[in-house]
Amino acid sequence: MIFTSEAFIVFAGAFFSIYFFVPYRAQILLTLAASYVFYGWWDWRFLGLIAGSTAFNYVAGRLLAATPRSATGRRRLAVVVAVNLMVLGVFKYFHFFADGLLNILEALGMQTSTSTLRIILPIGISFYTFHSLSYVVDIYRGKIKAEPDPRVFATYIALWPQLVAGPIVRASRLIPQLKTRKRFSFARFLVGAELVIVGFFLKLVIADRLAPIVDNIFAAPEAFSGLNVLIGVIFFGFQIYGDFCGYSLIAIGLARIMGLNLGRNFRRPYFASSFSDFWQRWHISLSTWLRDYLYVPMGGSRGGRLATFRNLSATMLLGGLWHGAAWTFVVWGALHGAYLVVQRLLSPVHRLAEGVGGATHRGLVAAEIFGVVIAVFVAFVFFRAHDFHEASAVLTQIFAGDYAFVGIQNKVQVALGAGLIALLVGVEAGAEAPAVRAAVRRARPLRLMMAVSMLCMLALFGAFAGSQFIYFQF
Amino acid sequence: MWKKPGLVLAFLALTFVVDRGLSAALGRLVMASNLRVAALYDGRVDADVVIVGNSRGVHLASTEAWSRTFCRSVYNLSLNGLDTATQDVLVRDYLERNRPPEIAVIEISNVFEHIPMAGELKPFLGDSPRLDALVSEQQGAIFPWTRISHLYRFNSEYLLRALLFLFRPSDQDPEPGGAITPAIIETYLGHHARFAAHADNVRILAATLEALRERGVKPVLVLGPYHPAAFREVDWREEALASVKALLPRDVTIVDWSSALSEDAAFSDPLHMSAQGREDLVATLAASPLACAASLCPIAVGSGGAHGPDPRDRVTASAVAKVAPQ
Repeated sequence: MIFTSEAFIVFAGAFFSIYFFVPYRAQILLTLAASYVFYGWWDWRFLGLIAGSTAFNYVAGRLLAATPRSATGRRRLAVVVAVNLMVLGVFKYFHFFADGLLNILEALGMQTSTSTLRIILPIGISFYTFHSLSYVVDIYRGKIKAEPDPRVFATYIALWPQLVAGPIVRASRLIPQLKTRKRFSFARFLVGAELVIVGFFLKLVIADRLAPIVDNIFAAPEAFSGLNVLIGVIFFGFQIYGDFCGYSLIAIGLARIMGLNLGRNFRRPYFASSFSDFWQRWHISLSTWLRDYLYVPMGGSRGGRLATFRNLSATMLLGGLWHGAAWTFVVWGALHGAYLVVQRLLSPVHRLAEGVGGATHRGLVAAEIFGVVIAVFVAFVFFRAHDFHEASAVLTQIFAGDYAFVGIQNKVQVALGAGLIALLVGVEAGAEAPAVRAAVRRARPLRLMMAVSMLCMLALFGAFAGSQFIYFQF
Repeated sequence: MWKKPGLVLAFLALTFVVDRGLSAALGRLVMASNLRVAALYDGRVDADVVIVGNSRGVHLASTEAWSRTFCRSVYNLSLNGLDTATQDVLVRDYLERNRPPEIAVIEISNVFEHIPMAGELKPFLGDSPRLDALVSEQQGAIFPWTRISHLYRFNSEYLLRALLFLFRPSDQDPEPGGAITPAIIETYLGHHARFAAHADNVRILAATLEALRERGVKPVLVLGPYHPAAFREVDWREEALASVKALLPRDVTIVDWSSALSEDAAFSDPLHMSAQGREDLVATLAASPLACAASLCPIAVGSGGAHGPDPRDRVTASAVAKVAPQ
């Protein structure tokens, strides 16, 4: 089920009309049942997979709790992590590795036959696997205790607002919140509703408005001028931001209404002045997960420069592969790894520039922001492209130098897309200033008007064609 | 302030007021614009020749050049993606609200497509019961939302176009397209190898023709020019036109202009003419029997002027003969 479907309106209406009026036991069971309905709506056959994964990690957590930070615990943790990664590998990466192996065998002149086995990717598997992994690792590290109540643990894994596309919430944050009965809070409802409205605005007005133009251009980049393709790449940068940040905000807002705090997942990423700053603003729950469960265990920045570069590159490479079983995602991750390495290499220059004051400093920061955005958008070409041929065609067209504004038939839609992006950038530029943020937070009538404006823009410019969220595929 | 449930009511009330107020204002703006559909529903069109069709109809004519050449006022009602059912509604509404033209030139490519587009005309809901009924039929899922939010009626590209044509005197000139390239041709061939008529579309077209005739309008069906690449893999025209003819009244002629132009410069893609192509077409038509075949004889050429005898009787162009009535 997706948030932008009519079925979801009925689902959410039914859920909230019961949720606040039942005692704790019924509340947690209702949340769990609703989560399974929400997930099964897409394909009920995979309910068994999520239930099996939940049962396995519940038992694993109990076993690990008995042997924290011991040799036995380490062996158990290795088995548990391996099983989780194996399930993820079978369902998400089987074709990637199988096809790769076949290509290698064929290159060596060996006869191969392609498998007829086609495995469907269960929606949200990457997200709930990462939930489980953080849970068992944190138990092993002694940071949290194993959850004794299977209903609470199962609800933590499957909580419907964030089940299929995150944010990836740690057990230490969410499980304690699931252990008490939630009562309706009007203040919480308003904050949650505000987030939901902003989320729908980002998804339906920004992302889905831009999507047809982007799809059109990426489908046949050779048929468009360099300027058109450049527009397509810029639009994709904002499409994916609107799509994913929109989903996150809807999820966080709905959870807030339920009385749960999932934390933030985005913080105006296109105003990052460095690549490390970007990853503290983009998909925060994933980047912090990768930091805590991959980068730091690999040694982080503790082993000298070369080791740090290796750890950064490996982390981002695996982060790319997490997004999808394709070499284009690997390249996307590799590029971000390279960006982080280059940033570290240039840090002495950056420190010198920091010493400059006044307008020059502001100009340098603006240049850094612009540079980060350009690099991020170049990497997004690989993220969006289906293969290297498509990515190469896109980049070739952009750098070929033909900047006539011809090829795109529907210039009115392009103008609207550009206007919406300008609006978004303008609002976020304002929100970058702490004084403005504080003033808006206090000016509640202004927030009311902004919510009304966003609803009106949803009605006027929302694309209600029932598109999927991009991050569902991950 | 946030703690009072009255705030939700205030929010809903404010949303309702803004929705109704802004939609009323937008409605006035749209109707005041020079958008062709707005002019139609406002009863402002007064033309001797009306052109109707989908994007190929949009790009078929420079109305100014046609008016100059054929000495008749020409108005293009074509819309991108116009399907036959929506076309039927527009034609009937046109006839009710404007002076019926002498000739309606219908570019028939939309009988080959079956993509409903009435929903895009949401800004005109309430102005036409026919359109209301069609949107309700074609897009039943969205129609109720247009009752809840009047602003949602303006969730259409036609709002943007109307705002644009508030400041431009006419929307009759198609946007200039780019030059056709081998990549564009390859992309096109990947999507359209051949065309075939949908029987339902042809039946609706027949009803439109009947409505035109009842109001004394002479309907002229044309198949506009295609780039030669459109027939490179298979020449689908004869079969497609024959299937259209089979479902139309026997006295209806389809004038085939599909091969009227062949130069690359005349096209921005295999389906749509460029500005150069539109100029070339009108010159070609004026210098050949093809215009007369469509009852568009230039006054200097025709024997009886705009209201003279039907010059089509004299036409022997093979393109016409190919699809002449049995």
